[in-house]
Amino acid sequence: MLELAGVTRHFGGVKAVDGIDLAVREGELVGLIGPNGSGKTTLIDLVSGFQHPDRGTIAFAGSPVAGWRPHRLAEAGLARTFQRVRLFAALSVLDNVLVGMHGRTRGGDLGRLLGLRAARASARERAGQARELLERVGLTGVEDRAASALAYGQQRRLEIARALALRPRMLLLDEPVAGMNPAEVAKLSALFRELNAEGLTMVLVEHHLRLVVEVCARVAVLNYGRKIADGPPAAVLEDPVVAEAYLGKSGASEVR
Amino acid sequence: MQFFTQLLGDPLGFYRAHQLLLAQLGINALLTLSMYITLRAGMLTLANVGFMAVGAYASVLLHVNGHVPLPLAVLAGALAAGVLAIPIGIPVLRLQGIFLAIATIGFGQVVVGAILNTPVTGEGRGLTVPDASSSLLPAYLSLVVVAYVLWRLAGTRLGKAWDAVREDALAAEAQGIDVARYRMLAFVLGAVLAGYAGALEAHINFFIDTSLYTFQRVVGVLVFATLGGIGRVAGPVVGSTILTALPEVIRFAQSYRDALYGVILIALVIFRPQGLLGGRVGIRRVGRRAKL
Repeated sequence: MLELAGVTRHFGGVKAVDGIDLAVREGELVGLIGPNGSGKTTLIDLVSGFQHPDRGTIAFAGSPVAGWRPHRLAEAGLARTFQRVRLFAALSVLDNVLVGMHGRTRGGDLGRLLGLRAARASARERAGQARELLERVGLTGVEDRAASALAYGQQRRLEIARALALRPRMLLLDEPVAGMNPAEVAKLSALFRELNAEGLTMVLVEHHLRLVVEVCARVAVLNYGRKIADGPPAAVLEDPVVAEAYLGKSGASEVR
Repeated sequence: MQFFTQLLGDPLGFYRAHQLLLAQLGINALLTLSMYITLRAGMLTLANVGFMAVGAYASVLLHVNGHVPLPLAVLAGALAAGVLAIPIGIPVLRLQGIFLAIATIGFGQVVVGAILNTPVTGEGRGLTVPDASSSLLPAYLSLVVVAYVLWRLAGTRLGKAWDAVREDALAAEAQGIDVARYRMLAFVLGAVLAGYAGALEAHINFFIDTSLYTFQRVVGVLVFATLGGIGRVAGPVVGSTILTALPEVIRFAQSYRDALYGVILIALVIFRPQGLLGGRVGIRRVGRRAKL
């Protein structure tokens, strides 16, 4: 589904992403962890077209996509959320999800302008689908409120609903549970497992290690722009190289 | 005061005395809607008077020198402005916020400069329109059609895409919206409408010259749109109507117009960025650059 080979992105002298190889198979839910500044968000930006690699190749669903603009990748079925919530603040909760469908819907505007019945029916159908998605992420009864009026945790969930509105083949989640309380984390954890069970391929960037261990069958670890481990979560977290990346050399020895 | 007593007591006399003002109200409303389009898409562009001049001069030259029938000449003027908007938009729409505003002000100045230095446009002497007519029908009919289309557009995929681009261009991209394309579309449609308003104005005024297309005027249009608010289509229409009629109602307002506009704009941005008619869309978001 997603294949990265030798992907490199430097900012001046900073090697944000430095020769990463990573393959995500269809239906996998891969966790991506690493200390702050290890290149996780840059990697998500590279995959979703918000940045372009200096070197290396990225293939999504069989097509080489390095250099594609984000909207084209979205149309091809790649959805993402953002580390810092980016909603359409002034739009209603429902409209946020409806806009999310943009990449997979076509035309119909002329029909809407003329008030055609078919256009109205399809608009109603889309609104119904949007409500289902909101229900799915646990946002009911707030659909007419402005997105900016939601509580922080609700905003994060709305962002997920909006991403799902694309009906993506692959979903990139950039720290979806940051700042959430344990009850909210548990709900999202269940949602992620459910989505994955339905066949959605996902990459989960997260600092919340318990969540990662809970939902991911495979975890890749980044440090200073390089991949230092990749495998089942239990094995990866036992890996001394990983402990060292998080805790430093002497710290790692103290823990052991 | 006499303005209102005549309006209520002697509507026909009022109509005869103020026909030009009434036509101007319709045209200014169309012009303000042209700015509404770009503001809704999140772009603070001030190229409207430039496109207006293009529409006006193109239609007058086609009609007077080229003997093209008036309605066709007006449409051709609007189209000319829209076509010109594409090569202007390609470099300029890479800018955002205040930088976009400055670049588009520059465009308006270039248009005026070109008119002043081209023999066919009459240079500084302007152009006369011998068979002008101050009929209200074209302006008001167009206004009704344009306002209706823009009102319906808000609920469509296109309208929502513009909203999304304004609210957060990066998030819009991530949802499959080709931001550059939607920005360009708004810019071109805004130019077509501004060119159309310019062409209509030329044909009610018997005479055009570059004094119609000043920086002060485009700031005025921005104030119209901001006063009414861009959250609803009615906002720009109400805003432009109030401020176009104001100097007629309060005579002294005429001498202090530019200063008054400045005060109104600052007050609105601080105290009521969503304008008189309200809605969720405020003017503040538009001047801002996308943040990462």
